Amino acid sequence: MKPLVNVPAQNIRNFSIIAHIDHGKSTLADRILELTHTVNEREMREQVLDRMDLERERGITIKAQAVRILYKARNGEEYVLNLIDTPGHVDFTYEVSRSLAACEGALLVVDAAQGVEAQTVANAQLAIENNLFLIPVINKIDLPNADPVRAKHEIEELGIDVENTMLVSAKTGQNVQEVLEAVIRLIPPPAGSVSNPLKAMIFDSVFDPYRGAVVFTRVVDGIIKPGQKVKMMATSWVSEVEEVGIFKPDMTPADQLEAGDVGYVIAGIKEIKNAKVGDTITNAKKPASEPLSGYKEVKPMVFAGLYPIDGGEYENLREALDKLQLNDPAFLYTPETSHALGFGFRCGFLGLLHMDIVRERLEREYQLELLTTTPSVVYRVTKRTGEVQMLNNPSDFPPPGEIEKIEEPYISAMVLVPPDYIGQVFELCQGRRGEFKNMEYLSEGRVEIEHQLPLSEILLDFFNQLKSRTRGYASLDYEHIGYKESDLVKLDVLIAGQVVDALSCVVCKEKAHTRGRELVKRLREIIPRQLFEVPIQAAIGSKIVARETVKAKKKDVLAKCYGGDITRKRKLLERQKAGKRKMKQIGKVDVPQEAFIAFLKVEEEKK
Amino acid sequence: MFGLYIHIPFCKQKCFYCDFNSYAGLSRVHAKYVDALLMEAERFCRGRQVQTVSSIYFGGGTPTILSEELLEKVLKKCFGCFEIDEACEMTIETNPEALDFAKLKGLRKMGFNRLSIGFQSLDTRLLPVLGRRHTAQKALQSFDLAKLAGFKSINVDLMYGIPGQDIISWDSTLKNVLRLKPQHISIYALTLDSSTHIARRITKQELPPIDDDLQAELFNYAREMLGLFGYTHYEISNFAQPGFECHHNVLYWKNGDYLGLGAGAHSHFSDVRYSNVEEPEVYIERIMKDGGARSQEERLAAKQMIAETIFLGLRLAEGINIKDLSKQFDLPLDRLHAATIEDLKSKGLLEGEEQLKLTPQGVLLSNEVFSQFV
Repeated sequence: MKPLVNVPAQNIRNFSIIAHIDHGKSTLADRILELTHTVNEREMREQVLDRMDLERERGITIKAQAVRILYKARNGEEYVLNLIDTPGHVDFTYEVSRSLAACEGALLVVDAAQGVEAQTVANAQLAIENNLFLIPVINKIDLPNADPVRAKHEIEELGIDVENTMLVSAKTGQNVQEVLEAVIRLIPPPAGSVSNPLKAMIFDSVFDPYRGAVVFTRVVDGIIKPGQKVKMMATSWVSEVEEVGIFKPDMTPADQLEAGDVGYVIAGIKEIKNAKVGDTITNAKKPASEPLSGYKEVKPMVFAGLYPIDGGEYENLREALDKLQLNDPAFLYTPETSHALGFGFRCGFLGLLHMDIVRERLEREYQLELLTTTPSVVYRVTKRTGEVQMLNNPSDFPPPGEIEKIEEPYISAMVLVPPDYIGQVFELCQGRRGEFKNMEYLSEGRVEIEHQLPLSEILLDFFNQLKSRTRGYASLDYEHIGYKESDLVKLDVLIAGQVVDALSCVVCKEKAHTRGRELVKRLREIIPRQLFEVPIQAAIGSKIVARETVKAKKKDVLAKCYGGDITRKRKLLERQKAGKRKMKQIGKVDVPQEAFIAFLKVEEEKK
Repeated sequence: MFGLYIHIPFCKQKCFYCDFNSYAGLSRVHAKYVDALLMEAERFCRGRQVQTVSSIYFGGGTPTILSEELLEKVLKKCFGCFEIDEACEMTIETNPEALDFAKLKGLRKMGFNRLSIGFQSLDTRLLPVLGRRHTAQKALQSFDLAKLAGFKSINVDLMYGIPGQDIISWDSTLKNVLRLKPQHISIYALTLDSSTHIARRITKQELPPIDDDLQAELFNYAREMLGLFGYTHYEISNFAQPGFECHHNVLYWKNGDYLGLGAGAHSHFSDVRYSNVEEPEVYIERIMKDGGARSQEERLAAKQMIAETIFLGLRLAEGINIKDLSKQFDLPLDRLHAATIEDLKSKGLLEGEEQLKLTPQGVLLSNEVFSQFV
């Protein structure tokens, strides 16, 4: 086993890079790795740290990543820099906060052309809450429309000390070395002590099918090494450490990790739920008295049904969900059945992006064909009898007559936008049942507008709408603020006279009729013509509020057999059959998958 | 039964709906192309026992674009290489504008005994929509000339569902064709391939979109009228006076063997299907260099052969005999497909017991039926 390059704790710097999406966080990380020869050129791919294909394709970081960098500073001394790259999306705020808690400082990257945006503000606040030393880094100064002076001014308006602001171009590498020097000069070394009882914070984990959970950790106090019995303080799970190591950026075993170190721990943890992000690892024999602060249970906010297109794939889907959850404890699932769709799972996600990612990973990594139902929030329904139910599936709602009140989760949404677009933001938020709370000029060119909105309203294409109405200038951040009572009803959809549970949705009473009409119209466009006429209706309780009809199909015939090309004919028929197999049979009606997210599409249409 | 298909991939101009393997402006390679055809035929027959040919079909393109001399060369080579049945049906496709009386007489003389003329429509408003360069008058005339030249078996191709075509236009086209008393009439629904000029015009909303309901109505109208005039609806798109069914096409539907010569031509020998490269110049080059121009070949699994035999056979009015097929493939197909057959019967698309066939409704929805068997 290769020993660690030993440097004293005062030569360790643990830092993170935070930014609004697309401000160049991962590119800066790449340049730093290049500059310090942490990866050689052959290994250097664009955005080395984003390891999942999905991350690279979408250009976002989903999982936290850590890498250990050796850097010989201008003062001639060797330093160990642990860089923790954080996820860049509002769905993953908690993961970001834990990654930050593993650091003493952070680079706050701001795009010189875009200036401060909503997640710049949100992430900076998280960093400040975690007592991090912030170094402002104004990036993309090579852009023709760069305005570093304005950007710096905007950072200052957030109450951040801009004295040490760095001007860089991560793309060209300009001033990147200066950034490393600043990290060494300004960010304090880790404070803990090796002689204290072990305290190590879990800031992320991945699952290895052969070795179990690989826990990403920051050791705050004490020492962790193979053979040691350790305990997870929140879950009380005890196990024995098999291996510890560091990220170079690939996992490399080491003899031990000490106070101040960032690395990984493998401890025969077969289920990742026993190694939760934010939890504290301690020595089972000589435990710390108090865990590190800030641990919280992450709760999914958005729920949707996932069904295999081919019912025979149910068990495979279960296995895939099992495996995926090992890697992603924030994601929950329970079996559910739908009259329309058969056996599937109700899944909980942190947000829509998270849902998208899970679904795509299931399809890609496990070759499953899945149908997703319209996402829903968790409603708190109080019945006349006084009984309170938390319902994340509209089809579970009791009949309207039994309901005393319905409450739904609300968020506080912060939109940052140039003053020219204030009107558009108001219009959008008010149209989504938003209640205006506050407006503040952060600088001359930037207004922060706060609304309280039902979470369900931002699930439906809110972000795209916001972007398109403000020509891409607006940025959004939000936090959950609890439940509020709303005037809601359940809208059912009937296909050929049969209620399709998977199409039920909960809508604001005032908009119910309009929604119903839009929905059935959209469904009429999606559902192909069948051999018989298919009525599509929307209903509230037993009252039909809208109806459309899919006319019967009259013709489906292949004409000419061209020069004996039978193969082409057969392939067309095979494709037709495969297309049909992808559809869900509801009664006698073949319904394409798209129908089950028609509700989302209704909103998009109105763009 | 064994058929010979010869593909002539040349046209004066590409029609607006055409996505077939045909090319305009290649007259300079006609002679070389024919040389390649001759070589391909010769190579195929060399040292091989070939079945007696029961039908020869010159398709295109516009085969009559070739000079009489070139056509005769090809036909002579066929007679030289293959054993041709005495009663062999010999069809050549043509367009109204690619004909004159002398040429027709020449075709007849060299041995063609069946002519297939692409009328498509007799509505002067619709011909330009299709990119046809002949008039309705010219089409009618070409038919009369063919008759005069001695053709006793003539097919007329018609198209329905053309943008702008209504039942009145269709009725008039049908009646004008019926007055000619052709022995055979094929009616094809206009199907759009996105690469075609007409599809682009529809996308640009210069032309109304294809309306499936109207197409169904036009088809039913034609079916009824042709029936009244004594034509047998013997295959989904084909109608004939008794005894004038096209042998060559029936061979396809009965999943028989055929050899395709020429660019993009398809061949079928029991469990093998293959086709040649499509581009004429590549075809010529490869034949001259390697003696062959095969680009795709598929060996069919039993399952695929059965599927093909069923969906091709069901295209014919007589349908398929499931007991006979079970014997042929040594599988209890009647039991294997029992649920599917019952389901299709309950939907009113299929009828019969041992001898299964499409119902009149099933004809128009035949893909619904066929796709159940693939």
